[in-house]
Amino acid sequence: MPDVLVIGGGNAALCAAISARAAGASVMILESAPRHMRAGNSRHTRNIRVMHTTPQAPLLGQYEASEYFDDLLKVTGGRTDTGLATLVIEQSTEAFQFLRSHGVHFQRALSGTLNLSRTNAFFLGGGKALVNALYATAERMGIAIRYDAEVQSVVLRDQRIGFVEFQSEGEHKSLIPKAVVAASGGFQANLEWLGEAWGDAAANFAVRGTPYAQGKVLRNLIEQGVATVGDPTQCHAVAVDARAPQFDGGIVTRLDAIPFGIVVNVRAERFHDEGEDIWPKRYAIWGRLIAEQPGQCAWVICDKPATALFMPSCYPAIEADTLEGLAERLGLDAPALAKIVGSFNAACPKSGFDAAGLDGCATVGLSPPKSNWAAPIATPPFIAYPLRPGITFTYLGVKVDRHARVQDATDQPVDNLYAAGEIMAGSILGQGYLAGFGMAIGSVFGRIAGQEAARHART
Amino acid sequence: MHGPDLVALTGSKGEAALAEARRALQICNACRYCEGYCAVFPAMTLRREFADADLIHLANLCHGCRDCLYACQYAPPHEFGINIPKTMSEVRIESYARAAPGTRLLVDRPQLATALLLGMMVALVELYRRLLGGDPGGRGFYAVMGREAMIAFGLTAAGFALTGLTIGLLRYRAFAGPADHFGPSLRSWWRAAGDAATLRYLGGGGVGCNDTGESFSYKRRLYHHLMAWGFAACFAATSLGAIYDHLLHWPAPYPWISVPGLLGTVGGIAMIAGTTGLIWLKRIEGDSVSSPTTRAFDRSLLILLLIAAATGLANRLAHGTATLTPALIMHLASIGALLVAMPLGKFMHAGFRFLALARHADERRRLRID
Ligand SMILES: Cc1cc2nc3c(=O)[nH]c(=O)nc-3n(C[C@H](O)[C@H](O)[C@H](O)COP(=O)(O)OP(=O)(O)OC[C@H]3O[C@@H](n4cnc5c(N)ncnc54)[C@H](O)[C@@H]3O)c2cc1C
Ligand code: SF4
Ligand code: SF4
Repeated sequence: MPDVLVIGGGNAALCAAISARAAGASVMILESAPRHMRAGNSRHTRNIRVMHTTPQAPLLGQYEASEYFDDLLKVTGGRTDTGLATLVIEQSTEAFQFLRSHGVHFQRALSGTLNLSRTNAFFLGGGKALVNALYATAERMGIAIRYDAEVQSVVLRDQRIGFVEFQSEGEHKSLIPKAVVAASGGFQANLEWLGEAWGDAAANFAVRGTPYAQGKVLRNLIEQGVATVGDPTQCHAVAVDARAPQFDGGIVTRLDAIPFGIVVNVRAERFHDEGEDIWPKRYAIWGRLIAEQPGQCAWVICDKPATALFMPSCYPAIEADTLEGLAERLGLDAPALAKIVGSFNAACPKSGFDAAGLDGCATVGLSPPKSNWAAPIATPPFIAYPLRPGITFTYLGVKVDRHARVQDATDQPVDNLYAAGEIMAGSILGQGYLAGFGMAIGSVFGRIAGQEAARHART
Repeated sequence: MHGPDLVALTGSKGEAALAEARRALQICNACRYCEGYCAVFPAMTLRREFADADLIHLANLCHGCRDCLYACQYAPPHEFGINIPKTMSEVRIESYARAAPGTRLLVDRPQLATALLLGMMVALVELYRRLLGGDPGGRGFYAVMGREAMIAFGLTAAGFALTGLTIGLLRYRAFAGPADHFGPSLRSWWRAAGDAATLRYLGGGGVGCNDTGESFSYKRRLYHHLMAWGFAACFAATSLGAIYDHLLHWPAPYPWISVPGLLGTVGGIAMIAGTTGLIWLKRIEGDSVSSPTTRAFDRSLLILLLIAAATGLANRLAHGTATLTPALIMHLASIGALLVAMPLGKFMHAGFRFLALARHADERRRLRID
C-alpha cells in the first residue's frame, strides 16, 4: 500500500509524486490514460510563467512579483484569491528550478515566435518533452506508475479519505493510502457536464486537450460535499479551426487570423468587433462569441496579403478568386457576403494600418465596428477559415488552502486529501487566463501537495 | 518526371514522401514547439508554403536525431500522425535518387544493387590483375596485383566517383538550391563549415538524441564519429602511402609502426567499431522511427564500409599467406564499390547536408535571425 497515492498523470501529478518521494514517502501514480496519451493537457503546453528578480537563463531581465501580480489582475478582472495567487507567484522561481533539476530542459532565449522570453520559460520540445523527462525521473526514483487506471471514487468518511476505488485492466480495485493527492485535471472533455451550462451547443465544442479530462474525481468529491470555487458555467475557450478533431487537437488548431479579417456567422453577418483589444484577451473572447452563434460556427474572411500577418494554420485555407465563389464554397448566401464585405471595405480608413501593434485604424460608421486593423478585403484570392469554439479548461474546482489541503463544506481541511493543478486552479484563477500560469499553478501546488502529503503520511 | 510506380514496386515513397512532408510541416509550422532542437524548425518558420525544393532542403538539414518525434504530442497513434524524422529520411532518399547521375537502383533496391556492384568490382579487379598482372619482384600485395593494375583500377573507380559526385552536387543545387544562382555567399560557406566542424546542430539543442528510444544518448553520434574519422584516417593512410611510394620511392607495405601503418590500423578498427555500432542501432530501431526501406538503404553503405575496413585489416594480417590474394581482391573491390556507389546513394548526404547548411546560413543572415 503506498503512503501517498497521486491521482492523475499530468504536470501537477508528477511534481506532487516526485516531491512526496523525495520527502521519503512511497508513492503510486494512477493515470487514467494509456501510456501514449499520458499527462493530459500538460502534454500540450509550451511554457511556464516565472517570477525572477535577476536574469535566470533562459529568462531575460527581471519579472518582479508585483508586475506578475498586476498582469494576473488584468486578465482575471480581480477574480483571484490574492493569498494563493501570491504564493504561486513567489514560489514559481523555485518550481522552475525544480523542473530543471528533475530533467526538464528549457529552450535558449531565441528569436522565437512569441515575444515572451522575459516572463515565460519555454520547454525545449514543448510539454510532451517535459512530461517525458518527469516520468523518467519518477521511474528512476522508484515511483509506481499505473496507466489505464481510472479512479472512480475517493471515499470521504469522518473528515478523511478512507479508500480509493479505481478501474484497471478491466477490474475494479481499491487502495487504502495514507494520503491522497488529487491532480486529475478539469472536466472540459466531459461534454455532457458542459451541456449542463451550455445546452446542445456543447456538442459542437472542440476540446483542445486530452479526452481524459472527464472530471470524475472532481464530481465525486463535489457530491461528497467538499467546498468548490469558480463559476461552473465558465470555461476558457478560443476560436479554433472548425476542422479540428473533437479532442486532442492541441495548439495547432487555433487560428490567429481574426484581427486581420472579418468574422461572419452562417447568415453572413458580422457579430463582434474583430479588432478589439490586445491579443491574449481577444483570443479568449472568441470561443464564447462563436459558441453563441447559430450552429456554433463562423468563418473568418480575409484576402491573400493578410495571410502573411498571422501564424500559418495547420489546415489549408479555403480560397476563391471571387467573393461569390468563396460564398459558394462556404455554403453562405453570396449576395449577403458581398454586401457585408462591401460595407466593411467602404468603412475602412484610407491609411493608418499597422499590423505590429494596436493601430487605432478603425472603421467609420460601421456596427459592430472594427476598432483596429481595419483594412479592406480587396486583393483576390479571397480566403476563409471555418471556426468553432475550442475549450481549453474549466474554472470550477475544489477549494484548497495554502497547504494544498482540500476544504470541506464548512471550510475545514479534509485530513489527508490534497489537490494540485487544474482541479484546484479555480481557487486562484476565477476568470481569464495568463499564458504560462496553468503550469505555474500545477508545479507550485504539485510540490506543496506532495510535500504535505508525504509529511502527513509519515506522522 | 514520372517513372514507374515506385511505391508499389519497392515500398520507397518518392512523390508520396514529398506530399507527406508537406502535410506534416504545415502542422509543425502552426506548432513550432521543436524550434530549439535543430536547424530544421527555424528554417521551416521562414516559409509558409513548401515547394519540393524547400522540402528537400529541410530534409537535408535534418540529421535524424528523433528528438522531435519523442517530443511530439501528435506522434502516431495520434490522428495527425506526425513523424518528422521518418518523413524527412524518406524525402532525403528521394533527393539522392533525383540527384544521382544514372540509375536509382541503389535507392530502390539497395541490397541487390550493392551485391551486384560488389560482384562487378570483383570482376573488374580480376580483369586488371589478369591484364596487367602482379609485379614479379614486388613485395606484399604488389606480388598479387602490380602497381600499374592497382593504379589503373584506382583511377577508374575514383574517376567514376569524382564525376558522379560533381554531377550529383550540381544537380542537387539545381533542384534544391537557393533561388539566387550566386548564393550562398562566401561567408555562408565559411559559416556552414564552422557549423559542420563544431557539429553545432548535432545533439538536439544540448540534450542528446533519442537513439534507442525515449531516453537520450550520444551513441549514434559516437559511432558516426568513429566511422567518419576512421574513414578519414584510412584515406590519409592510403594517400600517404601513395606519396611514399611514388614520390619518395619507399615501396609499400609499411610496418605497423609507421605513420601510414598506424593510421590505417587505428582507422580501420574505428571504422569497424563505428559501422558495427550503426548497423546495430539500425537493427534495434523499429518501424516507428524508420521504414524497412530506409534501413536497408542506410545499411547497404554501412556494410560496404565494414567490408572495406575488415578486408583492409585482413590484408595486413594475411601478409605472406595464401589468403592475401582473396583478401586483397575483396578489399579493392569493396573500395571500388564504395567509390562508384558514392554519387548514387547515401554517401551524398554529406555533401547535401553541407549545401543545406550553407543555404541555411545564408537565409539566417539575410533575415538576421540569430
Ligand atoms: C492546447 C493547450 C495548450 C496549453 N498551453 C499552456 C502553456 O503553454 N502554459 C501553461 O501554463 N498552460 C498551458 N495550458 C494549460 C495547462 O495545460 C494546464 O494548466 C496544466 O496542464 C494543468 O496540469 P494538470 O496536471 O492539473 O492537468 P493535466 O495535465 O490535464 O493532467 C490531468 C491528468 O489526470 C488524468 N485523469 C483524469 N481523470 C482521472 C481519473 N479519474 N483517474 C486517474 N487519472 C485521471 C488525466 O489522464 C491526466 O493525465 C494549455 C492547455 C491546452 C489545452
Ligand atoms: S514535431 Fe510535433 S511537436 Fe514538434 S513542431 Fe512538429 S508538430 Fe510540433
Ligand atoms: S529528427 Fe532531429 S534533426 Fe531531424 S527534424 Fe527532428 S529534431 Fe531536427
